[in-house]
Amino acid sequence: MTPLSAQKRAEARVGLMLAAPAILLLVLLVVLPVLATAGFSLTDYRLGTQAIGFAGFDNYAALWNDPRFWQSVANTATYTLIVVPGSVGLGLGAALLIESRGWLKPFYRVAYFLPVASTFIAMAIVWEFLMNPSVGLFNQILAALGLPSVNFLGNPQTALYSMAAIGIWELTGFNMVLFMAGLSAIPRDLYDASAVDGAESGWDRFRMVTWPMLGPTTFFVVIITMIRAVRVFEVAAVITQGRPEGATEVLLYSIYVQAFQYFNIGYAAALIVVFLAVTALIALAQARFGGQREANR
Amino acid sequence: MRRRSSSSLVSSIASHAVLMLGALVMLLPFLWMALTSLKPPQEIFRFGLHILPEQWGGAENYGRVFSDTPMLRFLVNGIVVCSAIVVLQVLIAVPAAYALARIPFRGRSLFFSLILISLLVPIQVPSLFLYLGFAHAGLLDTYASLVLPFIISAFAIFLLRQHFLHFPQEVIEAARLDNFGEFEIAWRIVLPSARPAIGAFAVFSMVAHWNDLYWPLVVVTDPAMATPPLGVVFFRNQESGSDFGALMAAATVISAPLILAFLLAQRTFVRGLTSIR
Amino acid sequence: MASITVRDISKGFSGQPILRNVSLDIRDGEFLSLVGPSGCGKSTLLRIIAGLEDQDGGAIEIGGRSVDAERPGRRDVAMVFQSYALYPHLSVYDNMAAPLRQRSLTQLQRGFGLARLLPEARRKEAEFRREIEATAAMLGITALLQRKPAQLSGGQRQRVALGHAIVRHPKAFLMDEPLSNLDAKLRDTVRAEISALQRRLGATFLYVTHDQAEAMTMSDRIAVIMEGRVLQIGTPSEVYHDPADLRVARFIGSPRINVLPGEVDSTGRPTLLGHAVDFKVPSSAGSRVQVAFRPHDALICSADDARLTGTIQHMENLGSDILMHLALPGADEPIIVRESYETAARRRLGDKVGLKLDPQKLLVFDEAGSARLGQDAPVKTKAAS
Repeated sequence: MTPLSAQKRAEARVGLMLAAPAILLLVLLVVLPVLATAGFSLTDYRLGTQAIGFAGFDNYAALWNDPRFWQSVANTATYTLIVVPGSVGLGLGAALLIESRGWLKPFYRVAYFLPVASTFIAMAIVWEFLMNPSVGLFNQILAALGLPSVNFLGNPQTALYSMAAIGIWELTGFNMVLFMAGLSAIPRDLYDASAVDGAESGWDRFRMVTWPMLGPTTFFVVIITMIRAVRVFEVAAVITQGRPEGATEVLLYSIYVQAFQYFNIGYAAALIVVFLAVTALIALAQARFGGQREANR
Repeated sequence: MRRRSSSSLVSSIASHAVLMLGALVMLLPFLWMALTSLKPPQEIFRFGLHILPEQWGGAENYGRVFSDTPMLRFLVNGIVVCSAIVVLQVLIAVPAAYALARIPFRGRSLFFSLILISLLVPIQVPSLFLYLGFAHAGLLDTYASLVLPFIISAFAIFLLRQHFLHFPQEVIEAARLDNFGEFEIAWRIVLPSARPAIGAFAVFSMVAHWNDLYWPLVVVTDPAMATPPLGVVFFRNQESGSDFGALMAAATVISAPLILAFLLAQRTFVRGLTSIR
Repeated sequence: MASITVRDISKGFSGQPILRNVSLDIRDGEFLSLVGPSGCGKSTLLRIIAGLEDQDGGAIEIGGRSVDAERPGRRDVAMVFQSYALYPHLSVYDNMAAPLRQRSLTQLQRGFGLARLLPEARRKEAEFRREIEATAAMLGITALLQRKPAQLSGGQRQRVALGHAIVRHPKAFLMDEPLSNLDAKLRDTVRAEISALQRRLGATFLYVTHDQAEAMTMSDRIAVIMEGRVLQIGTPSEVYHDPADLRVARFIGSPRINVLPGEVDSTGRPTLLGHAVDFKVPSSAGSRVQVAFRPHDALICSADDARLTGTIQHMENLGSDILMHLALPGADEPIIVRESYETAARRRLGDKVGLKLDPQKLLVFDEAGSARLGQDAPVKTKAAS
């Protein structure tokens, strides 16, 4: 018996003790609720009713046949498809422009990052005010230019796009900072090498060095932004309540309404399972292709 | 040569113009919020474009925020809830992350898999079950219901595990030769090195929970228990779009703490908020 | 200071043997180097002596006392690591104070910052301060005492790591490739400094390196380790001039030793590439041998004056000397001969030249290379059997 192996066993006990609170809480606050929610989705449970009956896949069938659900899915998808390219593209553009300008760099960085460090719901309320059809700044400007007023968040034609614009405003600065970190990791030598190889314009340098070297960063930023975009909630819940005509009804808001306003537990649980599946798919795409990208470098 | 430098001057001016325009868009809501909070109602509702306040309405607007809502209470709630969450998260995550990184024990890899899976689960997924649980236990409208769901942070455990994992083995061996016990090594050598990582996480978590609206909206109906975001929502619904000056004042008050903290500690903030890498 | 005895140590990792019954005696106050290619087990041996690794079999004694049941912290040896292993969050002063505090303060005194309040601890702290300041002065790092490791250069960190080891007067110093993270120029300076330091302290040094030049220039004795075995222990000149094993001969010395295959003829003399050498070996006729000689133990002459001939393939100019690379028909690798600059100046690439060997300087090994043959063959070290 050597002293180390006895020590190893004692160590293992310590390890388990140190991890025990976390393990317990993880089971109680994550594992159990997730499993229970999956279970609820197979029942007709509604808060207030006495008996809970097994409903099989009825809730999922109801979802499938519910046009509101499909509208909510379509709205979330549209929102994501606008916000991801918008905020990733603007974030990249801002990062490239700011990195190439020494002067005022700290100011730009603070200005663009400020939305990330602010309380979003407060800013959403400010946006609502800016977009107000009568006294909002935007319509004052339109009126000053002699243009007709637009009810940005109140018109079914424009509500979702207005919400997406707010989303882009919220996420651009965050993506910019991630891109700036990615840019600073590109070795200067590569730009010198590309110059020797005949890259003359800024566009050449971007095409030959910056863009390929930013590949993994870009991929990561796209995934992160997608996950955040799919979780859009505040504006729909507080400002528009899904209106007008369901134009801003998004997945998380549907969940919130079904679960905590109608207390349709079984139905809400089925919605949550769908939502989890969507976010898990995005994350798995990252794990699958993100890992590959890293390996290919 | 001359041509080249003049063209670079043009491109410099152009890119500064673009960046300035972008910065204006980014800052516009903040500026408009602050300006409006200082205007009296008649100016806000007057037709036409007026940027700067002509008459001082700030005292009235901010006065209304503090008289019509328990604004101080909201802020205190926010501080209490966020601090409790961050402190508990760190207290629970540090030992677990240390064990995951440095001590082999039975079930360690299963535990780590659970952590990785939990990283994919947003709060909205367990919220239904947790709500039912808190409702059943009579804990709705309490600090407990606001804090408890978040005290386990898979992200904190993951982040700190990475940190502890990359702590150099040779330094630990040097400590053994210096007659440090295993507990002392953890407490006095490895843990102090994690301070910056813990700090970054604390910023990240503070910001996330100060801003969170979803969960307070679910478990809190009593304004006395509202966090700042929920408080401003209550105030908005109560005003129903009639007193924009006071509403903007309320938005300013609840955004101010984070914005000031960010302006004072930019580096820490950016590092914390982007630590999800 | 103390001697270290390593007896029959064996160690394997997942079924792969790393050390096979290694025995060593390190004398009190001796500078002994463990040298060998990477993966030969030398670092593992050092770590077993320090107590950082458990041996599978065998025993370690430090100062005549068995330490097998002792924790690393109780063995009273200091180690200097390749990466220097400084505590990143502590100042240089506190890095050097750590081993002192951990050894002579109680848990209570060193925990919770109480050291300042207790008179006993304060008296000791004052002692530590004297000790640390004296050591820092000796190493020329006094000005760095308040810095953090991250603010130091590689060379400075190396000095702090030495100071951290010296300050507590351990029974022995264990050094694991302490110079390999320094740049070449600094390495030469520090090499001389460490040797001087060892003489000054009169301390037992066990020094692990893969660099034979380091081992040759610094050590009292060298232990050459390969594939988990000690092949030879001896003074630098013994392992250089009297290698017990062809692998030792090949590893020690730069430029490398020359080796030619040979066969023993009926008179008991080996033939090299078909030419008999005037040198008898105690081996039966027809057995195959390997004959080795150092680059400075051969002479280049005109092709007509020698039986071994070859062409000049490459000339390596070292300034004062030139290394001539000769291609000999039938030899697997070129033969390297050291010539003075003046002599070599006459030669041109492609010249056909003769090679003269001094029979007295030839080292003859059996076919496997594991045993020396001939009247001058040294008695093999027991540990190598």
